[in-house]
Amino acid sequence: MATETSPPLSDEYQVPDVTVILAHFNDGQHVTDAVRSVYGQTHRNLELILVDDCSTDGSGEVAERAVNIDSRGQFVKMPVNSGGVGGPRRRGLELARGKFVVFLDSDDTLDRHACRNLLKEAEQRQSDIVMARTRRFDIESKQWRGWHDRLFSEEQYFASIEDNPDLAIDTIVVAKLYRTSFLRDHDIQFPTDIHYEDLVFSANAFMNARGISVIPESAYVWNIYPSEVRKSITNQRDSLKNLEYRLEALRRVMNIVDAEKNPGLLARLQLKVLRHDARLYLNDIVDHEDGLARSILEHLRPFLMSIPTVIYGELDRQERFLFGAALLLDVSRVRESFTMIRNRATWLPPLELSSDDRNYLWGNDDVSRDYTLPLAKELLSVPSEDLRRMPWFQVKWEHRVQSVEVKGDCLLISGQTFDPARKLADLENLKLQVRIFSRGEIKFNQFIDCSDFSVDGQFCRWTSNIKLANSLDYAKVKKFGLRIRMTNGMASCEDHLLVQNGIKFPKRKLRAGGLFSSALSYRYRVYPTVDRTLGLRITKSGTPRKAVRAAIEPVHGLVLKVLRSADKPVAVEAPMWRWVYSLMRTLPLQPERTLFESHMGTSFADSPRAISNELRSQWTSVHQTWSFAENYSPIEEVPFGTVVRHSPRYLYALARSGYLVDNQSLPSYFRKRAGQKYLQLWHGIPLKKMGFDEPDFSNASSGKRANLQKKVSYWDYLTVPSPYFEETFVPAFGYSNELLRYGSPRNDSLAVLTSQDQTNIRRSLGLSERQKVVLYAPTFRAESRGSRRAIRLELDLEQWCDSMGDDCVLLVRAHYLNKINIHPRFFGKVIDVSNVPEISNLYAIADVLVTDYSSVMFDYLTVDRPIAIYAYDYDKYVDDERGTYFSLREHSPGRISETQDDLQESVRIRLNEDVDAELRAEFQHRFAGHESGRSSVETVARIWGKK
Amino acid sequence: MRRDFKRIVLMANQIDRLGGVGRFVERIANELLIKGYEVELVGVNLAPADELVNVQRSPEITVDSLWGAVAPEDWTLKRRRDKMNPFRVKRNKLRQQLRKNGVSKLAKKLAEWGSETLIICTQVFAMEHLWEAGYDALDARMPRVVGQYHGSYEMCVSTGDLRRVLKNYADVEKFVCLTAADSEKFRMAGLNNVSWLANPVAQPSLMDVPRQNLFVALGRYDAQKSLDYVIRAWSQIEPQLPGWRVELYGEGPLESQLESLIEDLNVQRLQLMGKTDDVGKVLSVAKAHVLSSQYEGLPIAIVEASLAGVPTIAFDCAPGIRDLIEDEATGFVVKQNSVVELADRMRELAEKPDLLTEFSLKGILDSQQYLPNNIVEQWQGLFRELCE
Repeated sequence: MATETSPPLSDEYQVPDVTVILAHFNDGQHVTDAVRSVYGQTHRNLELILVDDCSTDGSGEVAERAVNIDSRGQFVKMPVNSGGVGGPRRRGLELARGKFVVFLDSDDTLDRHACRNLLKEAEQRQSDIVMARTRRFDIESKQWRGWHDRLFSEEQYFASIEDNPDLAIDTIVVAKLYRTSFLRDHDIQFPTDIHYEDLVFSANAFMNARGISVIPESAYVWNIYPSEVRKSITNQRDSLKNLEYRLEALRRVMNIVDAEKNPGLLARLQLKVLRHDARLYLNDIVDHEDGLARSILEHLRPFLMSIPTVIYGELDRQERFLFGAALLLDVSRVRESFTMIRNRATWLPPLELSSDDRNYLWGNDDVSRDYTLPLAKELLSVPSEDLRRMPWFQVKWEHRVQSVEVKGDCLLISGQTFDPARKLADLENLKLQVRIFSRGEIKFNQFIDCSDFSVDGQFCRWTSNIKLANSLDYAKVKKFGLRIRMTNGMASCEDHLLVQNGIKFPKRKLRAGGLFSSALSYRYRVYPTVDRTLGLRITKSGTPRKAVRAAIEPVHGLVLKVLRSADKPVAVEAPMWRWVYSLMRTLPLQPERTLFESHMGTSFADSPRAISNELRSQWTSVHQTWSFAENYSPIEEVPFGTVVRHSPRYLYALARSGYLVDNQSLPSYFRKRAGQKYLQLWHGIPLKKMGFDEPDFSNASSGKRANLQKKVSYWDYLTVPSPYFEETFVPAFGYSNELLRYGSPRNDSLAVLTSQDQTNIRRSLGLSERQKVVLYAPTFRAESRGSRRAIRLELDLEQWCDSMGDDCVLLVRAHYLNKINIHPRFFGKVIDVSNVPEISNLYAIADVLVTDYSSVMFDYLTVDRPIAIYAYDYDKYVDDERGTYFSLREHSPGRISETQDDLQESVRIRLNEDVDAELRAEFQHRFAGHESGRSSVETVARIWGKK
Repeated sequence: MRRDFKRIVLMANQIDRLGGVGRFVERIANELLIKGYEVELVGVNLAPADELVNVQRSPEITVDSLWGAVAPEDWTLKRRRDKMNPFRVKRNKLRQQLRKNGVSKLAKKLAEWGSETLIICTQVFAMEHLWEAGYDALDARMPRVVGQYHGSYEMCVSTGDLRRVLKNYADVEKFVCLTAADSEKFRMAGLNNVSWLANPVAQPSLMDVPRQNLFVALGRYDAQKSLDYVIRAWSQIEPQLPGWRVELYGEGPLESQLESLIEDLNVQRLQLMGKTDDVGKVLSVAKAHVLSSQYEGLPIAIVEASLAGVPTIAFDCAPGIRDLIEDEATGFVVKQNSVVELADRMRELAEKPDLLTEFSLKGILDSQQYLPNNIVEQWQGLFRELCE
């Protein structure tokens, strides 16, 4: 008789919500922790199935004991060793009773709340797969790392993988919850005959899942154990075997995914093969010997050939070069590609123009001339337009050292710079300099001009004759770097000096000049660094010299400290320095001295510069000193004395200079002396409320108000660019001394701008005549104040470039306290011009200005060209408590756009036709005033007198 | 499977210290006792005499302190001159000794309490003691722990507590903060066990007196509470609201500035009242409550006023503000620092008695959830969830 008993209702037989499947083989050291992390889950209704793959070292017993301490666990042994995790996981899946399964490896752990968080989401959304974050822990360095973190930025749900194929790049099966019935219905299992079974399993799961959730929580700790260093050839051979396994898995993945049903998934997985799987092996080629490298390429080739050309189109140019070289089985060029990928050089020789002038082709030797593969040819070519469009200072130049010699006390370096599109050759006033520098405790900088600059076909050749400066620092610094800086006064760029194998390095050593350096007698040798760049380092020396040094060094250290301290910022607010500063103020004033400062020492431009130039041309007797912040070095030579802001010499200059010229604010500890004259050339016409009109000040303590009052009372002359400025700024600061109503000195050059000027500026920025130039100058964004991180540009550059077309170039200029980052893929179309010192040069060539609430709109009116306002955060920015002097919505020099689409439309119209000339005229009349172009002249005449 | 805990231990830096955590512990402890739990209160150390609150509580609630002493202040030895200061070095040593003793005392307690105990750890400093005392989240024989942070996420970031919170609370059963908005932020910051429960607010003891045409603000005279906005808003509407007054209760550094502002704006019916000990009395006579802070955690003043039937007009100064005020239903939420809007809303409430009554009644109903017995029931829900 068949007995029918109702199932027991006790806890043991309750259906578990989650089954955790743990595959184990010979890992007694970690498996206990893994098991504990399962039993300690905050969600308790779960079961653990540990499948032991016939461990051989007795760790099977360890695992069994760990599992058996809790009735929720089950220890299963495979009948025979399966050779991978596929077999045990497969077995675990067959046995699983839970509604959902989670996988765990024996050397990792689950987050304590993993099951609860994953399960909650799965039940709420009825998803087949829930994905959570994985945190990787590097055991050796004890550091945490992420894993595809950007996929997990927020809670999300997708009905199918086609809605977000990006998810498929997370191919590991851990940190995910799978619905058991879903896996069984679609017969999704681990293959047991190959490695990389995860790839096949997850592709299969993603493809079939109806409902994929992503949660921001982390669920899994992936421990990264220090791996053995792969050095020997036999070990390297393993990578070939490994590659075969991976390719087999990938082949199956590509076979499983249905191109009809899942086109997005297939394309994304193919791209992932290029970006991730193939790259793993290509990266290693740099270190492999040639034979092995070639066989790796041979193995890869058929697979690479199977990937459609359109997928390669997603890659950056340098990556395309890499795959082109790989397809040609060209090992040395694969290695060179990494020089480009690591951003050491934008392009490398040989880059030859094709006969139809449309493309440059990387490689001109016999192998590549006879391209057997059309795909390779495609990958190795770059549109000549891309090359031409990129301005010279955005290029990472390959400065290749050709010879290094030491003659006497001089280091002679000659080299060549690869310039396929003749950008440098055509540039006027270009200056090449070698920069010797050190970072770390002692910051050292020496610039040496290069000589013999000559153009030879696609190469610029140059020589540099370096004599170590007669500087005390040389005896203190152990290592120097050498780089090349190029500048034409308008822009600059700095790149490594690359050294190729086969360059001979001289045995002769170099000495630095100077008393201490001679006595200490440190000697330097040029050497190639591990990155194949050029460096200088101290050589070892014998015992007697060490003894001499031991005697001298303390003295040297002291002298160095004392001398350097004059140029190092000090704690100016400390009583000692206040006292020193007050003593300095008792010394007689030097009326012929003028101290200049622009943007608190972070620029060598703007109105102070205009005044400085004018003063220099008229009054040669006036001794000018410029103050610069500690880490700022202007790209052009400063023909005046300089001091470091807040250093003792700065205090001295503040105390004794007869005239002070500034466009923002001198430090709070500054005290004006009787007889000192202070010219304030304020850096912009205000839109936002300023000074005592700011709520910060109107509610501030009386001390703070008095401070500002005092600062303002020091000003003797204030530049007043417009009547509006006089109505707003002047009362806002309670200023009551003389007003100089001559316009803005910094806009003088714009007022008298000629078309020749414009041509020259365009040329020196590497822009062609026919390009339309849009200048985007957003105002200060507070998100990154003081941090060195770049701000986010609220502009989708991809969309911008697509929509604005190839003829339009976007110059982006960040506020001087902000930094931006532009992806190299936009180079030539989007150009970061934040480092161009004089913004008026940019106004001069911009066809349309895009800005938000910045005072640049007032200055740009001088050239009277269209303005588009991009105010995506209008309400937040304008309507906050600080408030504005007038409503930009009511009075605007151009259209206000709040979305990028609208902005693009607005700019496109204005590039073709000046539609708001009237609007602008009205705005100009009301707010900006008239620029005569004689502001500097009149200002200098008023203060220093006419000549 | 077990359905509930036998014993609840409430841990804090100090028990009965003035402030939010102190009030929370006191109220929750009483309610838990009523619900039938054994309740123990454990402070890390003792509150300094000037901040000690005298609390009457049932003798069944045991109170203990780990260190058994007041913590020595000025004890860090970060600067060179600190290390040279023998008194400071001595205080540092004493502190370390006290902490060591406290930890071993806690270790014994952990063993005694066992798995039937739930520890509600209100502050991260106490949690650090638990870890040092050998608490192991994965050990089923140990008490369970729920961790709390009694401030907003922003506060946690600005005080530099975030790292400690993330580190110490990652593995406890639940992390409980005060508002839904905060819990989302802690979640994004990397905690995987977040949840939230508001703090209980005691029913203010009201007096049966007729209400007057009166706005009140209850807050220190400082930059955070920024009462100058109330003064400026009032100056705009005073002439239009004859018979209405404003009273600002509190004390603080900006008193003289507020006074001079009152003089400058020449407002008549607005007074700085100084500090009050009887909030119930103030809320019994007032008709509306104004909150003009720059930032807040979860301002209980709003709930207290609601419970007393006094609707609040508040700046949108905290993520939790809209949890406490349903805009245009139980009060008004005003754009941060907008004097014009604040003035408009004050006038609206004063000029529409029906609206005021409606807000008041709905407010009373809505705020019942914050009464201690209701909050404790929510806690019990959480306990049950932990036993699942």
